[in-house]
Amino acid sequence: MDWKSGKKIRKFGLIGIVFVLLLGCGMYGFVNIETANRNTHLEEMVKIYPEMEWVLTETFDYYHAQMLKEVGVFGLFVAGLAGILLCVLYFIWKNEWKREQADVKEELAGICEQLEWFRKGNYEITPYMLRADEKDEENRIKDILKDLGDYFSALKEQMAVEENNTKALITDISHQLKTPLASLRVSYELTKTKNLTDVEREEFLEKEEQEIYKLEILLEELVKMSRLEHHMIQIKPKAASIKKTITEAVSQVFMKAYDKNIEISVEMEEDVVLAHDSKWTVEALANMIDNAVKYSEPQTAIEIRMHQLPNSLIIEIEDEGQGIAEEEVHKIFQRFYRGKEARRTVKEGAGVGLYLARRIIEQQGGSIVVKRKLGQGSIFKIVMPIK
Amino acid sequence: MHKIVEIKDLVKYYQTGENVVKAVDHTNLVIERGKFTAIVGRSGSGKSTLLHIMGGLDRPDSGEVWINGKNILELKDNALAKFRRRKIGFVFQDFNLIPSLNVWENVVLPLGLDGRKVNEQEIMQILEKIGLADKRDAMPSTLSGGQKQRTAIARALAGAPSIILADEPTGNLDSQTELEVMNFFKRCVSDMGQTLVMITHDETIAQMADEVILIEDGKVEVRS
Repeated sequence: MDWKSGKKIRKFGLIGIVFVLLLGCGMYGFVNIETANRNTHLEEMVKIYPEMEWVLTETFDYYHAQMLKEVGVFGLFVAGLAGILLCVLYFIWKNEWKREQADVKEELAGICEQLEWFRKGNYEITPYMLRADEKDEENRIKDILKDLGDYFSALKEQMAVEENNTKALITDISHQLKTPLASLRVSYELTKTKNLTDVEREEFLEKEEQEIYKLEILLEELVKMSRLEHHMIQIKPKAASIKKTITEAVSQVFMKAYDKNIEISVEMEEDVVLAHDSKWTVEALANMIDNAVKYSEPQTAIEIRMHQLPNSLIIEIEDEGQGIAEEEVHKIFQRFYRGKEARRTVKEGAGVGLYLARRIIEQQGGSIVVKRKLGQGSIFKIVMPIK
Repeated sequence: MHKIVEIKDLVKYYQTGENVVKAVDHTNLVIERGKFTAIVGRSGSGKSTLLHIMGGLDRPDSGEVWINGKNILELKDNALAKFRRRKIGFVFQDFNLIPSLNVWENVVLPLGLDGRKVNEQEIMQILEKIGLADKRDAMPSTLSGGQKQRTAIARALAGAPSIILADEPTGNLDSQTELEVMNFFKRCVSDMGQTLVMITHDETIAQMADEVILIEDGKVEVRS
């Protein structure tokens, strides 16, 4: 018997009791009316036949007593019925209560089991919970426990990912440092040997200086990156003019572009006040423009445009450089990734710039994508929300 | 790796006249929890059919679809509909907003239909994250295409589903607006730890995804 039929029986029981009560009331009323009738009839009869008074009284009393007896027997029957009904109802109620109690106990045991699993580091859902789910009942505790399990396992996974990230970062950094250090060592050892002409020595020294300079730049980038990665740098967006930020970024790269005779044009109709961290956004933009300059032939152009949308700002950086192969589009924002063509044409670079730029923009609620142009070159698009 | 969706040997053929179209042809696929997965492929490659089966909108000829450790194809139609309403959010190319209701009413409508209580604070948070906080009382006719689609996204997110399935959600938008919508969409989903599976033909949009799956002739070709 499930709770629904129990409820139905209870309903019928209640109707029964109400019926019995009504019957009782009706009987009481009937007796009252009959008694009043008897009294008035008796009085009238006594008035008409005063000499018959005691006979009449006796007769009336007899019939009245008879009626009371009959009504009394019926009343007892009704009362008995009511009693049985009450008993049945009580048992049903008690049974139901017991069953509910058992259900609650079972559920509590299920929850305990689930929590026990969590404590032991098993974030899966216990078979009991799965079964409960199939019953297709709305149950908030079970839903929450499931979500909690998912959350725990996501957290565990994230921790593992971060640990692996750190490991990979250390490996990557040491790998990045090894190559310039090795060439520095070779050059140094050569300079140490005595049988070198002054011109040759001069040449090696110059090379060493270049290598040292490259190492310095690389170290600076690596430090920035690992700091950003481990949240040691706080990016604090503040409402500021984006025009100023873009101008600052362009001016950082301007000399490099000038040397290659690359023209950078900036197209901005109106200034936009945007919540962004200007220092780090300059860094991101400068990295991207620097990239455009690095992978473009001399006498080409770089165009920077801005589009304002209802709730976002889009900054586009379009170049006429060597472009990106289709299969590499997805990878160029990865740490230390350098395209095949990029590695061939430009020797320096560690594959940090675009990665840094992406991190900076994403931490401010934006995204970077790149669109390949049909002819040559690419368009980098930055989208930032305007709050 | 924590999977939220697992598709096993899924088959769905269509009969068109004399020809049999193999929309989904013995496909196996795993979608990871909390990730943004883009499904790319030419039109007619079967990606929409796959997405519809994944969301319980269509039934396959054979195969299994496991979501959250449950084979949804074993559910009866009623139970499947209920499961879909509770656990899956849909975003389509058409916004399907009700013109006589404002943004807020459109967003909470499915909750009301499902007899669920509306948590005003949560809905407001979603609207803020999707950049529509100031538009809550606006009528759809006054919104731009991007705002309309963001309303539709907010509606899908309002039910707090664990998976959101999107079929070319930016197909009707220009390339700039597309970026705007996708940026908001991606942030929302990742902030709430939800899983997003999206069909797109746009190479640029696919770059925003954590995983890209290429479907060709009903089969999974490349994952990157």
